[in-house]
Amino acid sequence: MTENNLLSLIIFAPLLGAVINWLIGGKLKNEMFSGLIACGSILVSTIVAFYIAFVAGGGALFIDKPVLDHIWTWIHVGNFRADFGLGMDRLSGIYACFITFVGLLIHIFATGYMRGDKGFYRFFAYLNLFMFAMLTLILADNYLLMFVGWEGVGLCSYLLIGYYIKKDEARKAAKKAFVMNRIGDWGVLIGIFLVFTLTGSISFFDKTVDGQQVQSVFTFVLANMSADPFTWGAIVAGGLTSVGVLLFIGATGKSAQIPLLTWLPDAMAGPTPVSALIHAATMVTAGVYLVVRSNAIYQMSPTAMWIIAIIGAATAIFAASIAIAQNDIKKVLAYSTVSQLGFMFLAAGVGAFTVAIFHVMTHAFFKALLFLGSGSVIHGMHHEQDMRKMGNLKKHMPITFITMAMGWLAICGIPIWAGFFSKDEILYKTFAADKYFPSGAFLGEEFLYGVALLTAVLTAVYMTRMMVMTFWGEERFHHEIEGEHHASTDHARSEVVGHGTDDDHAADDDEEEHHHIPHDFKPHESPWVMTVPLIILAFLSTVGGLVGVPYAMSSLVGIKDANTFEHVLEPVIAETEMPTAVAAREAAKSHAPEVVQKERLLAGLSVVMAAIGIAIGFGLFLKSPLRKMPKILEEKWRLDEFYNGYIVDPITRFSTTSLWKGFDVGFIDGIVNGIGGFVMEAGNAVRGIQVGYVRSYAAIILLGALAVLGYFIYYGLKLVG
Amino acid sequence: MVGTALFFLFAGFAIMCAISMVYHKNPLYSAISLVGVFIALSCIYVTLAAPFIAAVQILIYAGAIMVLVVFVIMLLNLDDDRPLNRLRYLYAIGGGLGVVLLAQTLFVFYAVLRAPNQPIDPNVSAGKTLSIGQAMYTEYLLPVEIVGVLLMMAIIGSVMLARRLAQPQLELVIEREEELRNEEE
Amino acid sequence: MEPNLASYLALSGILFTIGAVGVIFKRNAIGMFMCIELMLNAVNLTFVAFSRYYADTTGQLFVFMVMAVAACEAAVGLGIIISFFRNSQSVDVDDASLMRN
Repeated sequence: MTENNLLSLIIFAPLLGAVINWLIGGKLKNEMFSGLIACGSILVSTIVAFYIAFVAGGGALFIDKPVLDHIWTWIHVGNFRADFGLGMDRLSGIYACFITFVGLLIHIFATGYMRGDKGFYRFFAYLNLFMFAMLTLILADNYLLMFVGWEGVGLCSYLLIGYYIKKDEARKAAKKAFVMNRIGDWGVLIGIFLVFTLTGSISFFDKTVDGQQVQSVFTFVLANMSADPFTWGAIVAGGLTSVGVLLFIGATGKSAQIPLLTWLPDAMAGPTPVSALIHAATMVTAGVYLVVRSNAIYQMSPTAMWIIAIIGAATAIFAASIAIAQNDIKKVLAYSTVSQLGFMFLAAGVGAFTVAIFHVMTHAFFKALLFLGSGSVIHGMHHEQDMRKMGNLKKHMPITFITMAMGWLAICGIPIWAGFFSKDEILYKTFAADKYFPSGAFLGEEFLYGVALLTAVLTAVYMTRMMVMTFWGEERFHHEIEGEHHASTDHARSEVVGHGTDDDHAADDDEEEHHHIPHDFKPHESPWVMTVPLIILAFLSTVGGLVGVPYAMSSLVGIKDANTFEHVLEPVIAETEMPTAVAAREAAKSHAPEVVQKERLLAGLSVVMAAIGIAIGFGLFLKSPLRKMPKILEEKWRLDEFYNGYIVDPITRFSTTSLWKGFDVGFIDGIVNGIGGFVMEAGNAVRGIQVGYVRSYAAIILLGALAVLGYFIYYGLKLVG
Repeated sequence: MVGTALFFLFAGFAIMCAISMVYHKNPLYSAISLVGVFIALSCIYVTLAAPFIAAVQILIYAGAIMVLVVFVIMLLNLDDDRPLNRLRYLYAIGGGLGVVLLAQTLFVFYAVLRAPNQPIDPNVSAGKTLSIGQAMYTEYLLPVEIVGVLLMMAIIGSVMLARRLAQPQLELVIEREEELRNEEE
Repeated sequence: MEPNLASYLALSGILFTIGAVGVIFKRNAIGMFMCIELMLNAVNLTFVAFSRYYADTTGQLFVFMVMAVAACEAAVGLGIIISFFRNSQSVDVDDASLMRN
């Protein structure tokens, strides 16, 4: 364990940037100032993160023990210890590096995208606050501080989705995101409580603080607990499986899996850099982080892992099927994110934790690229988001086109682009889950493989559709879409950001029916602050996968061991003592020829399926880009309506009639008003005593005097006899 | 024998005057009746060998208080009591209370009659002015002083109560008149 | 019969009763005041009687005090009545019912 106080700089630099922007930037209202402060603070974080990860003390990514930084002792009651302490081990090091780097690029992009907006300083303050919370989440060295970061990103997500405070849609989406996150937070919190009850600690790492030994949760689990059985009963038994399921509930909330997924597409009402940063690269991966961080617990809970895999696969195909039918470019990407997150959870569920993290990293690159590219498109199209009104943009916005094409190839899984290696690994590990599952046999892995493969095909189809509708074909800028005259929800009205000087609608107060696109409208390429991040991300999407090439692929070109990524992350994955787990590890390490052959065959199959998907996409949509998809898909399988109808509305009705009118107004107000009324009535009754006439008073006085006299007479009577 | 006759004479006179006072509606008649009560009581004090009190009674009650009352009656030019009444129930209550009080008086009379009789010592007279004076200035000095203060309070109080408020000062009135006259010109 | 203590007490009680009933019956403020004076005098008689029969000067001193207090009360009470008359042009105590309810 090495101590390095630079770690705190990583999280406090963005916080400082947020505070400066909030307090001073608001007064100065200078865009250059706010942008510089924001990007500068993230730059500091990036440099420090990379430094600690690669250089300091040998580099956190390469040494065995984590780099710790104990900032102060937060709670220390008896056995329970929660510190405000950071720890960068290999897992959080990887996360820190790519989060800060991608975050930096997105910040730079946003300075160009949000130019002219009145709340510029506020936007960057929130964005920096979000980076602070996210970095706290991943660098925390115990569950409770991680939860603080977890909540923080939820809050910043709310602030940023609802950034356009005047738009009703944005406010509702922000609320929805926050409430659904909250439902997940319940799961995480109960999970943390249970972890403490079972293991007596909530720290991730073994460390010594103030001379006291703090044991990590995972060492305790590995040393003292045995695996749960693979049954349904284990879920409610209060053991490790319960912990796993509860933590996963939180992960579904944060990472938008079934059933808490509907907030993510609605969150597209926020500005595009927000969607790129939060809902593609960082916040939504927090759920995967939680699962992989707790992999020791999960390896002991086969039921929990199985559930994760099932839900991951189900979400993947559910979201992919919806993405095919969406017309808003950002919604396609949102559902694509949900689908890819499903893949990550599928990987975690079958036991391939390192592959899940690998896919997180590559996904961050290409999804951020795609979102930023779409932001560039929207910016160039005068804030038009509906793909039905785009077309042939490759002529007008070449740089955006080329970079987005890189992202497109990456997500479809074409070798050597980044997505291929990670997604292919997931597919292979799913297919062969029997061999690699820590608890021995898996159930239904072929079915899951089929679902995942189908999702991969659908991914290729809808991404191709998106590219074709946007960049190829003929220009449909003035195309009238039926039903567009009245307010439609996924309309370009969502972006009302002022646009600099060449603007014929007013600043952000305006609510217009649809954007008035002038007749000589030509989309223009975006300025360099926006295209340079795109280029960098495109480069990363292309070569970023090469750090994790599996043995089966690399051996094709004679390199024995190119899977750096897996080696780096290996120590993070707990090595449980169960015989099945040992066997699984052995199987993963051995490179028996038939296994390698199978892997190569499956890889080839996935490439072929991806190519088929692209071909289908071109075939269906190049000639008729406005081809209509089935309505049920366009309506998102009516999931929102289902939730509203069966959950939200009954609760609202119950609250209104019973809780509000019945209990609060009727009972509690009744008591309070009743007391007041009673006092008034009593007062009124007593008031009658004051007759006001002097003679009555005199009579009463006399009466009193007679009573006293009578008392004495009574005793006198006794005396006299 | 003589004492008894005198007693009954004065007592009867006092009671008759008292009833007359309550009965009459004209306040002046009531006042005169009350004076009669005072005189009767004064005579009774004399029979009780309390000459000082008898004299003081006439002086203060009949001579000062009743004079004041008659002044006020004359000043306010009071009429007779009006007959109609909102509080008729008070007649019944008053009558009842009076009956109860009479009963209690009778009881006291009866009880004291049964009490052991204390003979009067004719030599010791508690009512002599000398003994009253001695008691006033030695044993009961403090109450006398307090009575003095009380009298002063009463004087101040009655002056405050009965003055006319906001008596306009003559100078201000003249100024105002001059202003009005100047405006008119 | 020889007037002993009991008779004087009885006389005092009767006078007091008459005064008390008069306070309740009379509506004129001056009349009420006079009835109060009657009650005070009845009490004075009691004191003097006791003083005579127990040969104690205290009773007569007390009468002295009572008379002084009665004088003060007369002054202040009549002042109040005059003020009241100025405000409402009548001395009927039933009209002084502003504090009703």
